[in-house]
Amino acid sequence: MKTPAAALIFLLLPLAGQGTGLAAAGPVATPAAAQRASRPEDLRFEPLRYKPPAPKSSTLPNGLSVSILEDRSLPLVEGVLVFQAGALDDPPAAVGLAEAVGDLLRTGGTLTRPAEEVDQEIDFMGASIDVTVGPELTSVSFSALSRDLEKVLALVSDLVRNPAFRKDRLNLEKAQMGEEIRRRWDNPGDIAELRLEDLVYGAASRWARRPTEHTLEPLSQRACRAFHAAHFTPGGTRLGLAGDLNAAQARRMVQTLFGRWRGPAARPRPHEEIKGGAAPGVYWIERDVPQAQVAVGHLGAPRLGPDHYALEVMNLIVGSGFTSRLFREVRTARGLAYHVGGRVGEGYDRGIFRVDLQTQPPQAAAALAAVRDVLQGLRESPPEAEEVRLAHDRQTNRFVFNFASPGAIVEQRIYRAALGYPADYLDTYLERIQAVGGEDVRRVARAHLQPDRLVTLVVGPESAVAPLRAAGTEVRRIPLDPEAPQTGPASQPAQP
Amino acid sequence: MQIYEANGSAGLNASTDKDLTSYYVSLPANRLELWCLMESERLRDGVLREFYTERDVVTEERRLRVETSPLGKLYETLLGTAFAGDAYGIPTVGTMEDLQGLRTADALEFRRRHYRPENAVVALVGDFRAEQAISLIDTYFSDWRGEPLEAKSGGAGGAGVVGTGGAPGAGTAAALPAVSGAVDSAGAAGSRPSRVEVKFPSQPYLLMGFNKPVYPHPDAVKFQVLDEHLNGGRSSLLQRRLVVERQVALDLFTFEGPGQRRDNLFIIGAIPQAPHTAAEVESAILEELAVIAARPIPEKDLQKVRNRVQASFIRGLASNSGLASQLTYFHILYGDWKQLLRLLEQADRVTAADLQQIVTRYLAPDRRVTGELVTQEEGAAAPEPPAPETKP
Repeated sequence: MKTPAAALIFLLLPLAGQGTGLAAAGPVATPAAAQRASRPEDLRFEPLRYKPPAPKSSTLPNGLSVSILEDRSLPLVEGVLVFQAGALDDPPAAVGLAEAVGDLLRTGGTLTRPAEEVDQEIDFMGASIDVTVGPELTSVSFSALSRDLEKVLALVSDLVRNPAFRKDRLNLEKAQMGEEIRRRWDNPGDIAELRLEDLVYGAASRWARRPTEHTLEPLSQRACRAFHAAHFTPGGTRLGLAGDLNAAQARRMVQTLFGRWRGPAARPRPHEEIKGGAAPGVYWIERDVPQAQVAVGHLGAPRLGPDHYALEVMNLIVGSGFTSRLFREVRTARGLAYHVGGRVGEGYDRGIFRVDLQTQPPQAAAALAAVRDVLQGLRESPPEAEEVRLAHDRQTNRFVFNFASPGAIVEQRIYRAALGYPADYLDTYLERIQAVGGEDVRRVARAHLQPDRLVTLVVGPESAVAPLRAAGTEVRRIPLDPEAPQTGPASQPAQP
Repeated sequence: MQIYEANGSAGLNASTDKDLTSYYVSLPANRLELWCLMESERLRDGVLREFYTERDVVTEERRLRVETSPLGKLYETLLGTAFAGDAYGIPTVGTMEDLQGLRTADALEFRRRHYRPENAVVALVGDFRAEQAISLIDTYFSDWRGEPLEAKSGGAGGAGVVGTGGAPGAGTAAALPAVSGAVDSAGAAGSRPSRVEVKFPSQPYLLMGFNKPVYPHPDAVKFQVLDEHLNGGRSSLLQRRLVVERQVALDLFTFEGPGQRRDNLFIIGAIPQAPHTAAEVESAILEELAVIAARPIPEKDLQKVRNRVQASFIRGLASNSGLASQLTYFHILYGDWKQLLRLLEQADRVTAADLQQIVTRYLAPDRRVTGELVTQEEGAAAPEPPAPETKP
């Protein structure tokens, strides 16, 4: 090997041919090593021929669906168990119940294993078992050395089937949730994140519901057990395993550990009719910090509606990545913010459209104007052909990164299925993205971006809203915490 | 960026820390040559377009990560106090004053001094053939040369920590030596304040830093084991005692910072659980440390820590981009990427007596600096100028 440059050091680790390696189509014919392209357009790439491995899927008689993917590249196994149970299922008087139940599965001990022993056992294996509770789903994800697969699976089975909801652990959980409530407003970014949701969905919506000191009170062992019995059942639940395992053996373990699990089938979750919250306009939460958080938005789209693919393309053009219009306008051209991004989100009932950025207070008005221009521009004329092609290329070429690890392959299949995506979603995705044209983007922009419906939230000092007021914009001050007694002057509640 | 995005880049970004600047991107395997073209051109003939706009963007990054972030602000203040007068005490993102005074010429000069082939290490991980990659690299990078530097120039420029005056061809290890052993003289304790307070409109936070040596000092690896023992998993000492049993903290975190090339800090952070104060959490932490110093930890705990270190090492190999970062990091900081592999054996040999020794020696009051974030009531405070991080 000729040394490339004086002492520039290269470390090469070719990982070809592994289970999930991204196999390029055979040896790429390098046009004579000495020949160097001077422009990216001059390069020609061999097509990527890659078909993601398909996990082996089956359903146990009790309704538990199981997906297993063998991949022996590292002595690790990963898995996830996804339940149809989430914060949307909280009783209105006991908001936080789903979260408490999820956390206590991991921390509250089981009928036969004290909580301390569970912690010790997991840590001693160098394994991890973590529970995440979202609005719709609770997931229990785990990772272990492959030699410990059976032990960790047995533990997971015990945790989710036989939780003890021990009293002292429940009290600890409630104390910790109380501390999280007190810390909810520690970071200005979180304030903007949550309070814009309140404004857009309206306080009555379950999408704007959060635990408070009051809703924690009724969380009891009895409430936890009832919630667990109703939602943590095999029917509608999905288990995924991936990594260094033998699929047939793993299936037998699953059969032994989960086969005799019984429970009522998960009830379908009714939809909520979202009426929407605050009137369009500018809202302000005073915060004595040297940067303003600016969030604008309105209601978004239902999940997987007829505009789904066109919205995917529009979102790339509007506000995702370094080449999006928001990024180019707000950051690259004008240097107003470090982060800026936005998208029309989809949701089980309705998603949210939102744009978020942070800028020094006196520039908030300028940044807002730039955002409005971008949105208006997309409604007025279809994007340039070049922008649409860029969006197609981005999705097409980075598609392989959906399959970057065996765990990721299984996990995303399971989540998609749990959220109601069709089984062939990824198989047809690129084709459908590539069929989206500029006129489609304009059509969905006109349908889903409504500048006259925008709710704007500014979190920051008065200097952030002064220029808006000076220009004649009405700015409504709202309290930081919707639960706290409203003491601020001129505070005006969001219109129902 | 448009070219990278059109070609399917994932995780395209750059980061600067105390010791190194990294540029990373993941691309589909058939795009290796594109990467060679883009990076070699950028290093050879890069220009700094839109410098002043980007400088404004960095001021917003500073406001975001430091000035409006309770932990960001507390951490910056802690480092400024612990390393007053030292490069490790200067915020990487720069002070607002520094940022506002930056000129294109400063950036060009910094680049000329530091962005040189003898300072750079590249790691490629993924599905390619080594011979082919070598040939492509040869084609694209072999004519990249650093501009000649005047003799004895090192160390003066900007936030540079070490000079670049290594002998030509000396390679990264020689050019960028780890500076260790200074821990007993400069840096540690001395006349610096042992406590700093930051006011911010949020609930309280606590950070405790302890001056300690870094690789190749033989004590450095022991901290990795100590870290796992203190805070690795729910059964670890601090999680079990402070979060579950005594319930004085909502959570804790431990790490080393701010860099690895000079003697650094072992840091224990905590989120107090009301009604307990940061000061109560602090004394609880000190009590637990005293227990480790007083008697050896049980063999079973040590075995658990070894198992966890091993498992997390294997997990670290799972992602191509993560592995590439580790390879460059180890090669630059420790002079040899293989140190990544040795670390595991070294951690395996750490004993209970070793942990007693480092806790007694380094986690001692004279090496400790404590930062406490105190709740500032809204409307109670005058807005402070974004200037000095350190107390005099």
